[in-house]
Amino acid sequence: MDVNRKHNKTTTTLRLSGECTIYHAASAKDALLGDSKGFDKTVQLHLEQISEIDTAGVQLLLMLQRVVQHAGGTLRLQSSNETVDQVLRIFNLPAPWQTQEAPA
Amino acid sequence: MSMESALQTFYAEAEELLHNMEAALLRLEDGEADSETMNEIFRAAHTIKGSAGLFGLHAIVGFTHVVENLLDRARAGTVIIDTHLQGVLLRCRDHMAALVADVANGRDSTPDLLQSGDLLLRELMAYLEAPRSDAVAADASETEQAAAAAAQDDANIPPGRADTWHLSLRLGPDVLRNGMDPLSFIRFLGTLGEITQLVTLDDHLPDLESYDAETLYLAFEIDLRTDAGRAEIEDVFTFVRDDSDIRILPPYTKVEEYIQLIHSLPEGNQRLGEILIQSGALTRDSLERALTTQAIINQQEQKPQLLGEILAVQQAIPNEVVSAALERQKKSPERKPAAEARTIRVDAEKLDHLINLIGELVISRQRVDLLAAQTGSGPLLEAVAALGGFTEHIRDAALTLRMVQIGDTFQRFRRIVRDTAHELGKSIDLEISGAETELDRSMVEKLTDPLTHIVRNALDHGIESVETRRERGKSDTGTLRLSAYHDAGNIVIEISDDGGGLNVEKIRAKAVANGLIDPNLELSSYDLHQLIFHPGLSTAEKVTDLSGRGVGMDVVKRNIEALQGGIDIESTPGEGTLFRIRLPLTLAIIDGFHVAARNTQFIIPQTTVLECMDLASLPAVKGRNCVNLRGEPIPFIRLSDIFALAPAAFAVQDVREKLVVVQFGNERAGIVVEHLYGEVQTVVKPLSPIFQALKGVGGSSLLGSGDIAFILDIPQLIELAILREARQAAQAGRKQEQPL
Amino acid sequence: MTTRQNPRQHNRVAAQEVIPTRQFLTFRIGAELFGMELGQTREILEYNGVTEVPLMPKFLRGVINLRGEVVPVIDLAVRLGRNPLQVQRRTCIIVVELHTDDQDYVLGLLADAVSEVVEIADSEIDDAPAFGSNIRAEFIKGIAKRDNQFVVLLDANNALSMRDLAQLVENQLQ
Repeated sequence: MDVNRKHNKTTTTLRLSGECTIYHAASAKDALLGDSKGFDKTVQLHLEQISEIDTAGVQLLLMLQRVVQHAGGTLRLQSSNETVDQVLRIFNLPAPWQTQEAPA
Repeated sequence: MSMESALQTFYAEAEELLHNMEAALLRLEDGEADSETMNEIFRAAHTIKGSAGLFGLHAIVGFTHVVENLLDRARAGTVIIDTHLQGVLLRCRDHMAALVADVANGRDSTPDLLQSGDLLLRELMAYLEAPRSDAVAADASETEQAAAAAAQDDANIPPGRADTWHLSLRLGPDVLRNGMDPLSFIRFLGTLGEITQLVTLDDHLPDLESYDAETLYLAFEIDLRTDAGRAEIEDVFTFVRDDSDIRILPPYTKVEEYIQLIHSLPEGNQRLGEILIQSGALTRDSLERALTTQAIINQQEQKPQLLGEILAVQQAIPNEVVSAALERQKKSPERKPAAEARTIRVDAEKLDHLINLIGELVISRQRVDLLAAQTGSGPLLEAVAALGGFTEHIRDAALTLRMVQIGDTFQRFRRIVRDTAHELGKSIDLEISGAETELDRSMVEKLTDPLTHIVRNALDHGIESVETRRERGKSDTGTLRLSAYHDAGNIVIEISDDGGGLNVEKIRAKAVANGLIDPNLELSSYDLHQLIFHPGLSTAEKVTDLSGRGVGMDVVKRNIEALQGGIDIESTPGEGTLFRIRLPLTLAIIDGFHVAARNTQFIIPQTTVLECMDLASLPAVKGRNCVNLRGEPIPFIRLSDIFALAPAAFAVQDVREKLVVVQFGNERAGIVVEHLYGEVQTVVKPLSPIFQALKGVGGSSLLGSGDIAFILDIPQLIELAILREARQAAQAGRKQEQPL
Repeated sequence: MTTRQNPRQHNRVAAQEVIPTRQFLTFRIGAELFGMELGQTREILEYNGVTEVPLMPKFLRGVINLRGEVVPVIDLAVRLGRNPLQVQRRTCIIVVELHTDDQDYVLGLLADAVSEVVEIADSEIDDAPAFGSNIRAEFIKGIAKRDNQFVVLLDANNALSMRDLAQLVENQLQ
C-alpha cells in the first residue's frame, strides 16, 4: 500500500492506493502512521485507489482515526470506492466511515 | 514466509503429527488410554485439520473434521475406543496420510482413495450417532450440561422458524496472522441468514507504540436471524475456536444469561449493555435491574472463578470448548517448557551443506599440516596442531547435528507388528530396547527397507502359529525384539524372535536343488545360515502376502553393505533367530588408515583395522594365500593382485610387503599392501555411478596432498579373500590327494 | 512466456530469415575435428595426469580431483572406436555436464586440443554421416563443414550415456 501525503495550512490530504490487507499491514502501518505531521489538522482521507481491503486494513484505518483524534485533528473520509464501501458497510462503523448507501 | 514454504512446513508437521498419532493409537492397545495419550491423538487430528483449513485443503479438512469429532467424544469419555474402533482410527490416520501425501505431491486423490475415505467416515458415523446415554457416568455432569444446552435450544426455538441468535466474537489475536479474516466469517454468517445487527468494537486498540498491524484487536457483537442450529453456527468458527472466545446465545435466552455474558466480556458493562439494548435483546429497565443484583452477588462471592467454569455454568458455549479451555487453564501453571520449544527445524539440505563444508575444512587442514611440517617451524606446528584439534571438535559436533535416535524407526514397527499379527492370526509382542541410540539421519532412511523386510520375515516365518507354539510348549504369544547399541565406533541393531529358528535342512535342500552347493559338501550351520543371503533363495513354503516374494535377504544384505555395514545371523532350531546389523555411525567423514599398493592409494576404514605387521615376519601356510597369526590361519589378498595394479614405473626392488589385519563381523582377513602411511581423517566422496560394478571399493577420498585415494569396502574384500582361499584350499587338497 | 512451437510454425519462421543456430565447442582428437554443444560443457582443464582406477576398461582413463569433486575421465577416442589418445603437451580435459536416464553427472573428456567455439546453423548440419566416419550413427548429431573441414557433432547423451558407460565397466569386470 502506498500513501501519498499533501499538507497545506488547514488540511492534510492522505491518498491511499494498492492493497490494504494483512499481507502489507506492517509496511502500511509505517507508511500511514509513521509520520504524524499534520495530524492535528483536518485530515482528508482518499480511499478510491484502494484495490483490496480486509479486517487488518480496516483496523489500520480505525487506528489512524484514533491517532488523528489524539493529535487534535479530525479525520474525514473524502472518497472511497465500491470495494472499500462494501467492507465498511459490513463492519457497520460509525462516522466518519459511514458511506452513502448505508443507513444514516 | 511464502505460501510454498508454509506448505512445506505443513507437510513436515503433518507427517510428524500423523506419526505421533499412530504411535499414540498403538499405545492404546497396550492399555495406555490415559488422558495424555488421548489428547495427543486428538491434538494431531485437530492441528492437521486447522492447518489444512488455512490452505483450503478441503478434502483433508472434511475428513479430519469427523475424525476429530469422534476423538473429542472419546476424550470426553462419551465414546469408548475398543479394538475395532482403534483399527478404524488407524485406518483413518492412514487415509489422512494418503490425502496429505497427494497434496504434497501435487496430484489429485484417486476416486478409490476418496471412496475408501467415505467408507471410513461411515464407520465413524456409526460411533458418533450412538445415543448420548452411552456416556460414562463419571462424565455425566458435562454430558448432561451439553444435553441440557441442546434441550434448552430445542425448547426455546420453534422448529423451522428463523429467529435471532446473539454472537459475541472475541477472536484470538493471531487470527489475522494465521491467514484468517473475520470478514470472511461475517460474510459466511450472512449466508446462514440475515445479520440484523453488527457492532464492531475497537475498544482494544492499543497505543500507537504497542499497536501491531498484524494483531487483531477488533471484537464483534452480532445478531443473526437464521433458522440454522447451534452446530451450524459453531461450525463457522471451527478453525479459530481454540484461541478465541466465542459465545453464542440462542433465541429467547433469559435475561440473566445476557447479564452473565456482559459480565464475562472485557469491554465493560455499560458498553455491551447498550449494544444489547440496541439489538432488542434487553430493555434498559431489565438491564439495570439485573446489573444491580449481579453486583451484589459478586461482592458476596469472593472466590475467583476460572473463566471456563463461569461459561460452563451459563452454558453459553458448547461443552467441548469449555472442557478444552478448562484443561488449558488447569495445565498452564505447572506446564513445563515443551521439548519442541528447545528445538528448531532445519532444512536437511542446509545441514548436508554444512557437513560438506566441514569435510573440505578437514582436507584443507591436512594440507596445512603437510605444509607446516615442511617448514619445521615450532610455533607454526603448534598453531596448526591446535587448529587441528578444533577442526576435529567441529567435525564431531557437526556430525551429531545429523544424528537422530533410532527409536522413531523402531516405533514404526509397532504398527507393522500389530497389523501383521492380526492378519496372520498370531499373537506377537514387540519389545524395544536402546531406542535412544543415535545414528546418522541419512542412514535411518536407507535402513527402513531392510529392517522392514527382516521384521516381516520374522513375523511371517520366524514366529510360529499359536497351535505350533503350544505343541512346542512355548507361550502363545511370540516376542519380537528390536534393540540397538553402540559398539566400538559402530552401531549395532539386532532383530530377534523366539520362533522356530532357521530350518537349515530346508535351506540346504533348496541350495542343492538350485545348484548353489555341492550335495556332498559338509557345511557348518553358520555357512548354511549365510546361504539365505544368496539371491533367489527363499525358504517360505508358500508365498504369502508379506514376504517370500523372491526379492529377499540378498537385497537386504546389499542394502546394508551399501551403507558400509554388514549383517549376520544366529539361529537355534526351536528357539529363535537373531539378525545382527552392524553399521558405521556416519557415512560422511571417516577415520581411515592410509596405505598404498604400487602407485595406487587406498584408505582402509579405521574401525575395521586390527593390527599391521610385516608379511614376511609371519609363517605362511604353504601354497595358499594364508598366514598363521598366533596359531590362527588368516587368509589374505594382495591389493596389487586383486586390482591388477601395474608396477610402478621406477619400481623399488625390495619393497617389504605389509599385512593389515582387518575384521568385519566375525570374519578376519589380511590385506597386503606395500606402504603404510598411518591414520587420516577422510571425507567420503561417493564414486561416480560409472564405477558401480567395481567390487571392493566403496568410495573415494581426497588426501591432504589433493591426491585421490580409494576407500576399501572391507566386507566385500573379506568375502573375496575367503572365497579365494577356500578355492585354493580345495585345489591344494586335491593336489595332495592325487599321489595317493 | 514461452510456448512450444509446432514444427510447421517453426519452418515458417525459419523461412522468414530467423535462422536457428547453435554454439558448439570444437576440439581435435588425432586428425579429426569434433563438436560438442556448448551448453553441455562446463570448463576446459590443462591435463595434469589422472588417478587410474583399478580394473577399468581402456576408455575410462581414471579420475581427477576437480575442486573437491571426484570426476571420471573418458578417452573419447576409445569410446568412438579409435586408438587410445596419446598424451602430449597440448592435451586437455573438457569437463561436461550431462543428463541421461534422469541423472545428472559430470565427466572429463580427453582431447588433443581445443579449437574454438563456433556457431552452426541447423540448416548447415547434415543429418546423418553419409560417408564412412566409422562412428556409430547414434553417437552423432550430424556433420557440418567448417573451413573446408568436417566437424563431427557428437550426441553426448548417446555417446556418453551413464547407463551404457556403467554397463561397459561391468562387462570389463566380468
